[in-house]
Amino acid sequence: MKIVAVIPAYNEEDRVVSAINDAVRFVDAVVVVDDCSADRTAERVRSVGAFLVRHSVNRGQGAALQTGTDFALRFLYPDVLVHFDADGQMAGEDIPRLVQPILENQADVVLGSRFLGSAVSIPWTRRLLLKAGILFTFLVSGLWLSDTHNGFRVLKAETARRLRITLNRMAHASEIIDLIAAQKCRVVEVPVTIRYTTSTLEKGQRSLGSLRVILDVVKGQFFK
Amino acid sequence: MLFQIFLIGFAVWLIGRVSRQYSLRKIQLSWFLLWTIFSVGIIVVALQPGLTDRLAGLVGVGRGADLVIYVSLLLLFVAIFRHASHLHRLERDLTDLVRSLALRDAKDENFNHEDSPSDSGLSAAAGRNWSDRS
Repeated sequence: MKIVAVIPAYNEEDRVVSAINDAVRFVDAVVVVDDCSADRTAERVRSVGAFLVRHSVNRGQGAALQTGTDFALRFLYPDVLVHFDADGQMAGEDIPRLVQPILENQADVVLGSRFLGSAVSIPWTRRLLLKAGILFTFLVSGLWLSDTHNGFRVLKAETARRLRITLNRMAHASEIIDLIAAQKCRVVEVPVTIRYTTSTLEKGQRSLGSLRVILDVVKGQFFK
Repeated sequence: MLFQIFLIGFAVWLIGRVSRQYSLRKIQLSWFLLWTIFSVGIIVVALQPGLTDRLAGLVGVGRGADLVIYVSLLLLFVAIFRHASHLHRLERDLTDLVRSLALRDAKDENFNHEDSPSDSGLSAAAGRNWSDRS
């Protein structure tokens, strides 16, 4: 069973190496997609020898994730793909737990859930918005999940081939769930730990960014 | 009266402008005709202001000016929707292009380079040689 981690990265020169080293303990290879970073993210990735794919124009996390997926499927022949963040919020130790339902053929997609696990130091405003996101996702996709905006997910390679992300920016998380529902994939949620720090909160989605996500999802529905 | 002169002057200028753009093949015939008809409409309304009141009465709107505003808003919404759709397609095409270039370059960088990851510390740390695909 070959497991490949796909890590989209944008201006993460300070954190990407530790994220790679964290993930690589539990996967067979790591693919980092540098989304036209202005800093030395790419150099840092090269220094540790992970597979590197570079966008020449910044396209967003969703686009970077799809590019990394395409690279892995085309050149690395994985059985399982792991979506992992470059900012150190996710814990590599959770990867085996996410992969397990796929190994046991209980799921096509496994989604990490911080509300089944733990969301360390999550601000209450963020928690409230994420809860609202659960309702929004249910209205759009019909799937009732405990955590709908968690980038920590594992997919069977053949499932990843069918789920093509077209929304470039943060709305891709909602789109993936929509695609999972449309393709009738077997979904399992697994508790994961997401660590919030001052730097990740500063860089992460602003609360107002949620409005942008909703707009992008609605636009995606209109302009398919 | 002054506003009517301004409107007619604007419409004549607009016809001249789109005619020039069409002659230089910068816009298509359909757009040329659309803007020309629009400009002629402005001239007609400027010369016959009462016409909009009669039209407004026909469709149940209070005043001619209100009818002009409602129609203008409707046309603006249509234009915005079309532009948003076009922009969405452009964004998607740009992403496809950027991705295609990235994958092409990544293939060369990751698999044809002397220090390819399959020989690097990453695979060694993972304890697997990536070329050994069983």
